[in-house]
Amino acid sequence: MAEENTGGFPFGTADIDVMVADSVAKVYDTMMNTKSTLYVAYDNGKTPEKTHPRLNAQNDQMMVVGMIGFLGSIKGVIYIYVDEPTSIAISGAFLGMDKAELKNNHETINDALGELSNMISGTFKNQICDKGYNCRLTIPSILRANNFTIEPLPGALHRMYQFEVFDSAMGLELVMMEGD
Amino acid sequence: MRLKVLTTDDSKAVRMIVRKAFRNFDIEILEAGNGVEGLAVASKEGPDIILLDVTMPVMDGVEMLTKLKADALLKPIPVVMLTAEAGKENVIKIAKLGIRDYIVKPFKEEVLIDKVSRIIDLKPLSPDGARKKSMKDECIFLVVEDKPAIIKQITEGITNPNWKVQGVATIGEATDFCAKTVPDVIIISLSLPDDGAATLFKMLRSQVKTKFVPIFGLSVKTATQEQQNAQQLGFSTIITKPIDFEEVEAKACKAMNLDTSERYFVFDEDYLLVKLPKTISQNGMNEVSAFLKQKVSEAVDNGFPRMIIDVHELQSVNVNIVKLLVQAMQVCQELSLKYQLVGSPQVIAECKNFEESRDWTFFESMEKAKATK
Repeated sequence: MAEENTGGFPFGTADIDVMVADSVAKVYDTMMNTKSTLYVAYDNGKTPEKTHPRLNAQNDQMMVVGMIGFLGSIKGVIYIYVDEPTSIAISGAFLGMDKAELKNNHETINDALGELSNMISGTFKNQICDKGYNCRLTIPSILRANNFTIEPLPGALHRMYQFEVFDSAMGLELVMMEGD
Repeated sequence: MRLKVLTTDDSKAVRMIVRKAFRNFDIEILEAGNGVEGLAVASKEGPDIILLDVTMPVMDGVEMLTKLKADALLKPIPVVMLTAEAGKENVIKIAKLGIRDYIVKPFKEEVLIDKVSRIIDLKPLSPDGARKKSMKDECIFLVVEDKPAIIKQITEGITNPNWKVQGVATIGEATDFCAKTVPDVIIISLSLPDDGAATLFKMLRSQVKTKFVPIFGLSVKTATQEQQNAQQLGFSTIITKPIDFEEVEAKACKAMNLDTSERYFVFDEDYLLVKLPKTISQNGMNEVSAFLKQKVSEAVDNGFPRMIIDVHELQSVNVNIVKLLVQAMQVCQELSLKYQLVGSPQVIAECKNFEESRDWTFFESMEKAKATK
C-alpha cells in the first residue's frame, strides 16, 4: 500500500478534504445562498474515479483561474478554476448582478473570482491556523488560460478537488507543505 | 448631513458588496483600494466609520490602522476590520491596535449592517434620496393576529390591488417573515397572548431592517388601557375594531409617506386633470387641497397650458366642495394657468345654490372641454 503524502502534517488527507469541502460550502452558502457539493477528490498524478464533464481537459475551453498563496509555518497555493459561463454565474450571484451586465466584463468577473478565492482560501487557512500552523494569505491573482497544468512540488501535498456548483463545476487544487 | 462609510479593500468585489448592503440606507459610501488611499480619503472626507481589509497591496490594513491611531484627528474614527483573516494570533495583534469590531469573510449582509448599526445610527433612505412611493407601487402589509377571521377581513378590506396582505399568527412567524422581507406596514393585534404585541414591537424596533417600519396596533374600541400602553411604547398609530378601511388606508399612506396625488391629479396630453370621485370625504378634500399648489406649479413648469377640473361624477355639491374648487381656481389664477370646469347637469344645478359658484361656466363633458383650448 502506497504511503499517504500529507506534506508532513499531523493530519491526514481525509481531514484536509473535509476542511476544503467545508470552506467551499461555507463561502457558497454565506455569500451566494447556494450549495456546493464535493464531486470528487484525489491526489495529483492519480486517475480520478470520475471527472466532471465541465472540467474535462479534453474540452480545451478557456478557464478563469484564481490563485492565492499562504506563507508562514505552512506554505502553499490554492488554485480555483471554472469555465467562463460558470465564472459569470458565480460573479452574478456573488455581486447581485445580471448575467447580461457581466458578459465580457472581465475586470468585474476577475475581481469576483479573486475575492471568491480569497474567501475560500482564508476559511481553509483559518482552520489550519487553529490547528497550530500560523500563516497569512497573499494577494489573489487571476489568469485566463486553457490546457494548463500545475506542476507538483517535491514533498508537497497536492490534492485535486471538483465541486458541483450552479449546475456546473468548480475545480480546486491545493498545494501545501510545512514552511519556516 | 449624510453619514459616511469608508470601505478600504483592494477587492472591488467587496466594495461592491458593501455598497449593495447599504443601498437602502441614507449613507455615503467612500472607497479606497489600499491603505495609502484609505488614509488620504479618511483625512479629506472624515468618514464616520471605516471598514478595513487586512491583506492589501501598497499598504496593508494593519499599517493603515497603526497610522490612523497615531493621528490625533483620525484616531477617533471607529474601525471595523472586514477580512478573511481569522487566525487567533493575527486577530489579537490587530485588536491591540484598537478596533471597534471584527467581521470575518465570508459574511452575510445582515451581519455587516447589524455591526455597523451598533456604531453609527443607520437611517433608511429618506423620500428625498429615493423616488417617493406612490399608490401604484407594491406595498406589503404584515398582519400579526391570532384570529384568522380578522386576517381575512383585513385581506379583503384593503382594496388597493398593489397592496399585499400577509397574515401570520405568532411572533415567531412574524420575525421569520421580516428576516426575509421587510414589510411596508406592520399591524399587530394588541390582544396577542402573553403581552406578545409589546414583545414583538420591541424586537422589531431593535432590528435595523424594521427599526423605522410603521407599526400599527389593532384593538377593540373599548380596550383603552391596551391602546394607551401601545401608544406609550411607540406604536405609530392605533386602528380600532370594527375596522374602518378608509381610515386604515389614510393612516397607511401617511405613515409610508406615499404620494397619493395620483388619485386626483393626472397629467394628460396638454392638460392637468383634477378629478373628484362620486363621494369625497373631508380627508380626501384636504389631500386635494394640500397637493394643489404643487401640481399646478408642476403643470406650469412643464409647459401645460391648462387645468381641467372634472367634477361630473360628484353625487352632490356641498359648501366644502365649493370652497375647494374656489381654492383650485385661485391657485390657477396666481400661477397664470387657464382652467376649465366639467360637470353633470345635477352638479351645475347644485352650484347655482351657492353665492361663490352661481356664475360658473361648465362644460358638459371632458371631450368638449378638451376640444376647447
